[in-house]
Amino acid sequence: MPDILVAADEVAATELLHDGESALGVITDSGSGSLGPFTASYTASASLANGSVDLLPPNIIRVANCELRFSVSFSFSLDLDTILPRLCLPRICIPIPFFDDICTPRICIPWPTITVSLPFSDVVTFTSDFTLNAHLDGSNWLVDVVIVGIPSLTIGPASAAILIALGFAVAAAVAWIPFIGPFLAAAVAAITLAIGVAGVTGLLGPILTAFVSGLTINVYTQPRVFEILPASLPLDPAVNVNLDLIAASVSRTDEDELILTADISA
Amino acid sequence: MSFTQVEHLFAGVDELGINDLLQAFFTARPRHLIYGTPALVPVTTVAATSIPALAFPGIPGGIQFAFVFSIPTVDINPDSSGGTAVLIPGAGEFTVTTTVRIFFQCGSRKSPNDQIDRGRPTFLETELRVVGLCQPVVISSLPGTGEIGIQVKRVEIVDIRPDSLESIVECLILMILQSVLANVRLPFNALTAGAFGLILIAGPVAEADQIKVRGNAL
Repeated sequence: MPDILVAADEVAATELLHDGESALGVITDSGSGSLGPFTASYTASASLANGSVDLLPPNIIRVANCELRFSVSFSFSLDLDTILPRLCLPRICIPIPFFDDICTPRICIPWPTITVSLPFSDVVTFTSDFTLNAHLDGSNWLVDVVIVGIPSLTIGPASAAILIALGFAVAAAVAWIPFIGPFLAAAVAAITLAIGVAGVTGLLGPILTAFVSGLTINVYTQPRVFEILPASLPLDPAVNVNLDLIAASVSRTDEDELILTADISA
Repeated sequence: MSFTQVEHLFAGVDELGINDLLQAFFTARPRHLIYGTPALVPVTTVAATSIPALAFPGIPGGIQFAFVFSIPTVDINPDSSGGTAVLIPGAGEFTVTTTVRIFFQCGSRKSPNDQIDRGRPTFLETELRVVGLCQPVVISSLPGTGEIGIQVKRVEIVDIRPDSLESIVECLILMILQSVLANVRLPFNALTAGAFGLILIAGPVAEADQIKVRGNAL
């Protein structure tokens, strides 16, 4: 029998998980990826919140409807020449008797390259299994819950919303360009068509997956030399015990419980 | 039956764990086991507690003595002795076993105007094995930072005759042991090994070789 046994039902385990989510804080990432025919750079941040715990023996914590709250700031450059028809003044020749015709050269106006910045925030939910991992890390005992596999993230709605926002952003970015008026709707349509929901999903998916792949949430940290009473100066020093072994598991009786055991010594 | 039963959180400390906690407490704070009058403990330190001498007319400096307890160990219900213990812990109870060494100064220093030869002061020593019947009690139920303690209900010291003397010694040791163990505090945080902040709803109870508490997570 362990020296100390702590049991938490799924309600208490859920609170423990939420504390772990809060402690995990905001995770950030940056990089670049393909956005349809274009390349976009991004900075992204995400945090976890909510979710309910279902305990499954011997050591699985299933977290249902966990929220991945993310913000992504995209920046990508678009060469409008690649998607808009060329705007050219045709060559005009004036016939002159007894002499050669006088012709103007064909003049084409190049479309500029524009840079579009697009911040976007949303929430995706996922359900995934986590395993318990109790281990000694240096002078601290940790109990982590480590995600099993890569959860399926439903990011279609987010991708569609990004694509719509992208259309507005492109429209705003090109509005200043001379002669764009007749081509504005075509430009927006061409860009959003070139990218498509699949394009956004192709960029967003890996970004968000990186946040949950290998996800580890710490739910217990205590120093191996564990203070049970603080010093009460000047005559009573702190009282410590050694946490010799910490273990975590899931138990099923008439109720599923998260079990944490500790062996201690003076 | 689940550990948590109708509550959300359970913590149980086995009697061996309680003994480790007591060992840690009294090793860090030995003054709570050692009490002596100024002739033996001139001043209170981390190691020992100084108590006043027992004043008595005509004895210069009063009666000098000391009590030195060993680190107690517990046996939580059910009884682990096979029925041989002098006190058997009943439902919700546990026993504390310790020894107390009593030092007693025989004779006293002679005062300048003293005409009586009191002899050279010497210390006599005896050791008694003490078993106390206890129950866990709530000292503070503050969520997360509450504490449980030990209430000593009676003690048993065997082989003192006559019985009336045994009763007096037992009463004396009971009062002292109650004070000694009143210093012991087991914070909720220790009971949960720091895993949860406990909101105490049920307990503490002493049963199945454990001190058990139940409640909600803070």
